[in-house]
Amino acid sequence: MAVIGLTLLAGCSQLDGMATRFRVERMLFEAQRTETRLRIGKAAPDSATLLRIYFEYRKPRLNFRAPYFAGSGAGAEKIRRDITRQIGLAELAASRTALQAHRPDLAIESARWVVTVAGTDTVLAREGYVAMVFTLRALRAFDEAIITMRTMLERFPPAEPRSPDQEDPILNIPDAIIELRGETADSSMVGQDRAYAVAYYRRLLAAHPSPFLESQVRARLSRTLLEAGDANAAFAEVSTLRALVQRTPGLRSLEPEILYTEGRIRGMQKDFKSALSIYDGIAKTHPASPFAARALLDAAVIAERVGKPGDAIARYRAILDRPNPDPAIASVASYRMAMVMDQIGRWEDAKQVLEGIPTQYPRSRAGVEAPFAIVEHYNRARQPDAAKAALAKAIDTYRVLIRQDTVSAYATVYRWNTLRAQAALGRAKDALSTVDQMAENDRGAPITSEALFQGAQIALGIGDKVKSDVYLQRIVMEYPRSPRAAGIRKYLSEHAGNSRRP
Amino acid sequence: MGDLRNARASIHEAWRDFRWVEYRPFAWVLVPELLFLFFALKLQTPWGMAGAGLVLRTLGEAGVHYPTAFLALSSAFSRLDSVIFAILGSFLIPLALARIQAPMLEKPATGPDTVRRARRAYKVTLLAYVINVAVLIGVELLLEAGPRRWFTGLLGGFKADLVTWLLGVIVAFTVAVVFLYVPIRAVEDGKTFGDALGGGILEALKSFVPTLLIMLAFSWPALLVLALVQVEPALLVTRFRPELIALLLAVTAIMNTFVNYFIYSAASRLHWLREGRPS
Repeated sequence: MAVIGLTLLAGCSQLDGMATRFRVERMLFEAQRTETRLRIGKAAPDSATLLRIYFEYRKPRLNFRAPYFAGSGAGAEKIRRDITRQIGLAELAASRTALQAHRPDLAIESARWVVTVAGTDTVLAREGYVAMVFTLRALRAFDEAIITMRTMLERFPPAEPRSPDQEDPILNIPDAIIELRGETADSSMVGQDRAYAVAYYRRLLAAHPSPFLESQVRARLSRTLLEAGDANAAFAEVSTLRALVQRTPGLRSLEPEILYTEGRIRGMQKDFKSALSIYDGIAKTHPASPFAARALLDAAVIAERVGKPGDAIARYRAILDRPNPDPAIASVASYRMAMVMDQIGRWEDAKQVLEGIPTQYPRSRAGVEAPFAIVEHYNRARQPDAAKAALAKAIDTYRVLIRQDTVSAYATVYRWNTLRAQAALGRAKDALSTVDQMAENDRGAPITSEALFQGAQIALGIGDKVKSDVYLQRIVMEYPRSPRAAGIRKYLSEHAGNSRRP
Repeated sequence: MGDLRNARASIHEAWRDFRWVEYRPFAWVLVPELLFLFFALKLQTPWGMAGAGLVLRTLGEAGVHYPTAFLALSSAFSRLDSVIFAILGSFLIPLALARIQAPMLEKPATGPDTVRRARRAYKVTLLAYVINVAVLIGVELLLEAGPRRWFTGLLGGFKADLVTWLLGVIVAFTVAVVFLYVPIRAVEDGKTFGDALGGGILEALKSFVPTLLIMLAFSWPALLVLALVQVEPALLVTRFRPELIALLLAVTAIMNTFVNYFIYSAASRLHWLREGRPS
């Protein structure tokens, strides 16, 4: 009887589906175990190891194909969605691993596949899009990355938060787009992206969201308006937000953010006294808020502007002395503090701070600029030998930073600065080698066309006309939208065979 | 002291006089248990899912997913074990006891008389077992609500889990001791339902320490294996293989049949010694 019962039950499609799902989950688990085993003892596994892990994660997709099992009904469809999610998660892990193995071509295929099969599973689709963005960034396809992020904004409305502290990461995408433009030094587009962000936030507000979501959107909107320089519109948003906070008891925690935004608006309106008073108030009344550090930073900048370097340094120091300081703020505070110290004649202190920034905050604009700030000091002080030594040290620093982070947009800037330092030191061969690296690794980045142009000039300087022309041709072919492209095209057609500087 | 000496003698005698025919009813209990664990190891097939998945699903959706099914397996196995012992064990344990007592009564170990005595003991054994399980569930809920939280607060992590588990085992043993003599008395001729239940509980309370000694003497090897599965199942899943839990549970189940046999065999002898009859 039991055997007959089991046989009948086994024929049920739902049990078949549950068993299939179990097999998929087991395959994913095995892949995770393999990854753990292969990664043990290896801080940075080699590409061959990473590709082994990649192929382990590919197995579920290769072994299970929709519809996975026979049968229909709501239960069977739910199990199918579960299976698709498991396979999708495995494929996303494959994408991540391929990216680490410097195979963005494999990574993008996996990420795109996930987006295609996700269907109504918004969690999986979102993860797929995020993987696509990361991979496109690694491929230097920044425009497509931004288009993908915008698609995410269109497709996935932000989830209603249960508390003011919970925020759907989708709301951060407009800022991520602006940040990406900033990283790629394509600042001309930042204004457009801000306008897009403002329109997006306003569209969300027009749909009358819940008070928690409304507060999050308004806070971001006011910040973006402020960054766009529209102080009046920002002030209007802050006023609306303040009214919302006053009538919603659950939003009291937004008080520091509102105060901070008001302080920034006062600062933009050159009412420094009021701005400083508001900022100091935030640091005193809400010391644990993340806005306390921002307030201190802005207050320090104002102190610099009104000619109080001592006050500025004290505030920068207060930021750095906070427990677990936010690297984005602390890096800026360190850099600016060093600059102020240099201005008031405390160069040794400033130098010490500047030398520590790249190791403390490698993925920051301050980390990129700090080595050159030391060079600039020696140039201003007319100490050419010290400047040369600083340039050599800068090259070493960037080399370490590149080794730590080979795929981020910062790696491109590190290589660009390395090229600048090598060119300044007259190390033509090293400089051309860096140009070649950028041409390969940072293809598509606007700064790479500039590196190729510098490379062409350096090559011509050492009499290598062929190499110089190759660089120029690459600019014309690979960077047709570069501001230099038209002039180079004209130069190449007019001066083919000559050795004049472009 | 005398009772403790008798308990030691009963332990030695039960160990020395192991008889396959007396043990066999406990082995029959093992059949559905091992079948369930076999199905649990085959959850990747529809029939495996039908055989074990349905029981595992009573613990929630995680029970039919990999590898969480193996984390839930110990609890699911306990539930199944309770049902099997209630339905089958209420007959098979008295049957084994009747066979253990048969040589003392100078009767054959197998035959219609032992079956008759086992059948007569079914109801009271089932009732005692149901009360035992109900008390255990209640105590387990109390442990979760109180001591586990205190231990977690005081000791944290693994130590808290281990101490809570040990406390749970001690409580389970204590409760089991209270009902241990019910089937032993129930298979005896001339014992009524009330004599078996009330008298059994009373006898257990009177000889609580020696009976607990018998239980601990035979149980500790199986407990060591069970501790691995019940205290840190996540460790087995992540460090080794999830399937190892099913294999260890099978080992524990096999060991437990012997443990149960020896406990009942030794307790029967102690009971007879207390009653002044030769064991």
